[in-house]
Amino acid sequence: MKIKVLVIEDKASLNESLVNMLNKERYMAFGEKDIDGGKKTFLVERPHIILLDIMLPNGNGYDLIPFFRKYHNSRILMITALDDGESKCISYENGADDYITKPFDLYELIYKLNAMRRRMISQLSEIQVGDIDFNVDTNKLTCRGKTFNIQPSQIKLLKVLFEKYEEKSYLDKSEFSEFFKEEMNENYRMQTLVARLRKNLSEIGSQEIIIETAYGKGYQLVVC
Amino acid sequence: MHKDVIKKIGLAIFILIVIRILTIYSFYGFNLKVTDYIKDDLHTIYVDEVLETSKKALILAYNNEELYTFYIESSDKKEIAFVFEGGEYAYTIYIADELRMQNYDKTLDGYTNEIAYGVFELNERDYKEIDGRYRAKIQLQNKTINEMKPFFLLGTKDTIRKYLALRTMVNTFMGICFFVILIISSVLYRRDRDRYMFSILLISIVSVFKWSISGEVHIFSEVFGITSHNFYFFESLTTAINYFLYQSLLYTLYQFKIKRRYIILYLGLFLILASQYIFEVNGPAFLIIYLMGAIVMISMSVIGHIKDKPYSMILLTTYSVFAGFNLYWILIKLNYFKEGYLSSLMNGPQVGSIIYVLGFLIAVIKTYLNKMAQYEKQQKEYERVLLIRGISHDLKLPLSVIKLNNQMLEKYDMAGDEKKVYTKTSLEAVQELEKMTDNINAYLNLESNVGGDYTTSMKESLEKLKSHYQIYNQKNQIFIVVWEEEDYLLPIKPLQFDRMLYNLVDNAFKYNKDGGEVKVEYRLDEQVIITVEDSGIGMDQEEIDKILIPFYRIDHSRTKDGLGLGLVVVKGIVESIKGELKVESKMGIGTKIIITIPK
Repeated sequence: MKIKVLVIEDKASLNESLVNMLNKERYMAFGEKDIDGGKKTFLVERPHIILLDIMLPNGNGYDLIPFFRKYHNSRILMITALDDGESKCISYENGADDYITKPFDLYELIYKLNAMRRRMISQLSEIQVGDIDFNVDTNKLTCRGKTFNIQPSQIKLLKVLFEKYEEKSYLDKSEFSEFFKEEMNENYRMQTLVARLRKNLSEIGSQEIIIETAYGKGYQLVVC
Repeated sequence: MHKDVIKKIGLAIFILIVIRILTIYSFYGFNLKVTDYIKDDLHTIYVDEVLETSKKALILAYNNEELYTFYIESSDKKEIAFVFEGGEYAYTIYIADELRMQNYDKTLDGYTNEIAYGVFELNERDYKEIDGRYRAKIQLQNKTINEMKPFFLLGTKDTIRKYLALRTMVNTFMGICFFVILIISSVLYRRDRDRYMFSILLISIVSVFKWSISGEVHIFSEVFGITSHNFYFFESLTTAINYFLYQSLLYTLYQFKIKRRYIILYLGLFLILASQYIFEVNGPAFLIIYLMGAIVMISMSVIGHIKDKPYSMILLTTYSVFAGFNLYWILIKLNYFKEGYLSSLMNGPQVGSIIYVLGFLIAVIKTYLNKMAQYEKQQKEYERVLLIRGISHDLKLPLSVIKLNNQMLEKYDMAGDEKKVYTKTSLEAVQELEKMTDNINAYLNLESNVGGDYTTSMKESLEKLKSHYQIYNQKNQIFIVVWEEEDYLLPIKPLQFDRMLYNLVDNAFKYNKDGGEVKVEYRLDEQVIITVEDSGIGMDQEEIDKILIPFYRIDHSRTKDGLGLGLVVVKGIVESIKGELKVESKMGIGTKIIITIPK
């Protein structure tokens, strides 16, 4: 599942670079250079995140925020050269989630976006990755028409692995005990949980999702 | 105490004393030179002797007797004229026991408004022969209400006629001075509502009134209904008010801070004494007020000078002159000095106050001008700050492109071709930065690129311009340059002039429609006229007003690419050669920039 990002920035070269960068970071990016284009793409694509400039050819970026808020609960990150208190204030009052000033740092932007993505995913209950679907609320795992009811702890592990996958990371051993504090006891160990999930995945016939062991470190989700 | 302070006190006191003494003695000396005196108690005057001297006039003062009798003796019935000073009070003059003049008018049932002075003549028939000499008897009945002494000024008819003409002229001139000060201060006060100017306005109003009621020029005292009956009241009232106003003006001008109770105490004392002086006609009360005021004024002037208050020197000097005149007249009234031709010719305290008010006026106007200059400086400073903020803001845009692209090159593994794309984008942004810094430099060095040493040929510049922008003709936009046959040489660096044209044409293309037209035209009339016209999106009046202000404010609606400086640089260049820049624009139709430069 890819997070959609809409970039509304009228400086062509900056817009292009931002879109390229986002695609490299495994986002699905759309670039728009003015307010009308931004509105149109927003209504069609329903982006999860909007990178919004303030000074646009025919209006102020922050005036768009209420419009976005009316239709879809996107996260809005202002990117602007204005670093006066007033602009910041207006932006936040209109409903912006974050504010970053030009010339911004690439890494800072990526960290902010990844944090947003992480929060978004952790709130999702229906997740689709590779050839499987799973639902955190109903504990259902679906693959190629088949549906299994699996243990809540396995669904939870699947989701944690998925979040790590989105961050291009892996689940560390030490983190594991953090995540599964309640479920952990003497006869329910990490290896057992991973083995049961692997078994369920192979039984349901998933060919694209593999839980790999990173030796000495932990586990990671791999999508083939 | 600091050496500097002692020096300043010394200088201030020196000025106060020296100028006062100079004022008094120069007046006194001049008075002596043109005036002869008769002893106060002399009751017979031999005019043959005295009026033949080079002195202009003869002063006869007398002790305050209710009926004063004196005799004029002459060997040849010399015809003479008298000016009687003392018309502020009821008087009657008899010559040879016949009523000759009085300032009580029965038909008016009151006192006449001939208050400043009365004039009467002694003719041949007024003389009576006694022992081969001729003698005229003159009697003055006078109800003088205080110690001030009325006096006569004697002279040949001719002398007195000239004296009266001169006296009217001098007094008219003083009236004009007060009027002018009144007009200046009211105009300036109306404009800026400055409280110091308000004080000067009040002083000048009171002064004009005071002058009007002096009776030197009849019409005015008649307007206010001044007679010898009410003259003294108004005279003392205006004196007290003005004296108070001088003190308060100096106090506010020097921004003294004195405890409230002391001020109230002083005001109370001043008020009590002033009312004594005004209503009870109390001479000593006036003297106390005068001395009190003098002490206050002197201390304020000296402290102001020590504290380096602006224009303390002017105020100190003019105050000394003012005080000198006042003191001289007071000393005359106290019989320390004698009246004379000059002192009766003009009202000394009024001359003094003209000079002092002028001193205040200069100080206040200069203070005001200083304030204006300072304000302008601040404004300029503010503009500079805005400029720098604007520049730093506009530089951020290309900077962020460069930063982002370079960080991407650093972070991601890319193929050679992809790398080239990011490098190229960065370089373009660098070029943009260069253009901006060029414009900034041009803006900051506007003045250094004009003058007699530089010449720019209009035709050459336009030819260059035409070939430079020829490429746009292929980009779906038409570029036209029209120029006059007759060339003109402008006193400006060619580079600077070209920068102006390129900025304009760049703008025109930037805001032009597809398939639009950009037209540059040069005409030579009485002036050099250059127009740059596009068929682009146009602007409304609000935008036109905005575009000529350099970073007037980091406005959110300002368009981004183009740096807010472009047109401002153009304007600066045009103004550096004393030209004018006009912007005409219609939404959706296009914009026309008109530059006119005087030949």
